[in-house]
Amino acid sequence: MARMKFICDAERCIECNGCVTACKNEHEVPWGVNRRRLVTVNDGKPGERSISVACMHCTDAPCMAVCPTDCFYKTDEGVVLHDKDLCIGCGYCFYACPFGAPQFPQAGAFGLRGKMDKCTFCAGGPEVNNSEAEFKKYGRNRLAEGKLPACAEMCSTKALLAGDGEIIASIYRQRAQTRKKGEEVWGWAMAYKMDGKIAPLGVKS
Amino acid sequence: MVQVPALISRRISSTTGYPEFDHVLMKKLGWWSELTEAEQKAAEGKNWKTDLSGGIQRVVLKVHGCHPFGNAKARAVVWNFPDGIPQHREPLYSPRPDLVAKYPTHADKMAFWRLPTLYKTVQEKNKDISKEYPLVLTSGRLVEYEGGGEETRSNPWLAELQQENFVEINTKDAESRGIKNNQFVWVTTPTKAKIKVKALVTERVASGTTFIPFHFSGWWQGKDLLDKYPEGSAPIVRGEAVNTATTYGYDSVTMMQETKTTLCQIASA
Repeated sequence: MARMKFICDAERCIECNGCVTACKNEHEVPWGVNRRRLVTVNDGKPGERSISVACMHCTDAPCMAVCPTDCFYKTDEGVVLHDKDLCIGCGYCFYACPFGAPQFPQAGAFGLRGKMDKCTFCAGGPEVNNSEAEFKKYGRNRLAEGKLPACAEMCSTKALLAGDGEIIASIYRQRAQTRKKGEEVWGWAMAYKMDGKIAPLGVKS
Repeated sequence: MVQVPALISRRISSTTGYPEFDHVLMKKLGWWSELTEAEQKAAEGKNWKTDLSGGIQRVVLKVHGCHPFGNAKARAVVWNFPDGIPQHREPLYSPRPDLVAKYPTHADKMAFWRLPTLYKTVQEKNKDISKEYPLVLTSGRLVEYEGGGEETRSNPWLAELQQENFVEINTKDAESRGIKNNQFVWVTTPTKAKIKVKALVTERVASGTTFIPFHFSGWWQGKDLLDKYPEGSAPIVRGEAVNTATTYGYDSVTMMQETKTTLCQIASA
């Protein structure tokens, strides 16, 4: 059985937000709920990198561990999903998640958050596959149609890979091998043969 | 401006142009010895494009004032271009009066596409305007939006990603003006226009240059014009339109307005 995973190749990510827009469109995610988002470090400086972050569908998911109503479940393919009908919007999963994946649609009085929403790996929820109810609550179920997540499909540079962990790991490994070293060495210095030292644009090291 | 030294025209007589600079030509001209030892090692067998040391380019450009690519043979005469070969001409609004003197723009055209189009008079009049407007302002695109922005700013997925118009300003320039990241600023230009945008303090732009995306509209001098839109027709995101502040200028070759090469001053709002 395939074990579904995401890898975002920070060397290829160009911060185009294609993945974010694809996810929003595919599942009609409301304003303010960010299932997937881009994180950029060193913006505007040499060594700027971006990475696309959503639910990482952890093996020992902390969200699942802390949920007081036990609304989370794991599919055979390792996708972490939850049942919005059981969710009480307590926010514990948000506190537990190191990636900030759980999102809440409301910021009401007395901590009223509404039902937790997060990336589903395009695998919907406990409702009947591809039903109207499933779409309204969880978005489209692409996995049930034999497709891969919309974000990875739309990635303009194929930085974001999603699918069977074995397959995407081997793709990423091949990229790393072609680049010869790690992502930290790829760049102008490597392309212009400066003994592997990182050189900012236009500066010889 | 191509400056072909007499040296070359003596040693390589040609009525069809001059070859590109490679190691062979450098040796023929006697310029090879002006490369350093390390440069010579890298440039042996190479031309100006493939010499990774940059030595050929350095000697050709800096020492002898030549274009390394040679100037070959013109394949055609472009009748309607004002310059036979491309010349640098300073924009009408330039931060460098010395470059304006050295590389002036064209003479005014009395009738260009049936309209009087000014060049020289505008440039002369605004030679020293950079004292008041010292920062270069350029405009450009964002990934999230397209063109004037009315369609893409009405799309909820895209609008959420860029919710405010902004000016990218260098960290040093912001500091000297007491501007903090994400605060409102007034951008003023030689047309006496003023637009109110958020400041994005960053090192993306060099000191002396600023950037504003041109996809926004729906604000006028700091005021959101939402109540002027017919019910339900306003885009989700509105902002200042940078071209309400950019200056006069029309490039006769590309037929493009000079909205990407203008000057501004920025101050806290």
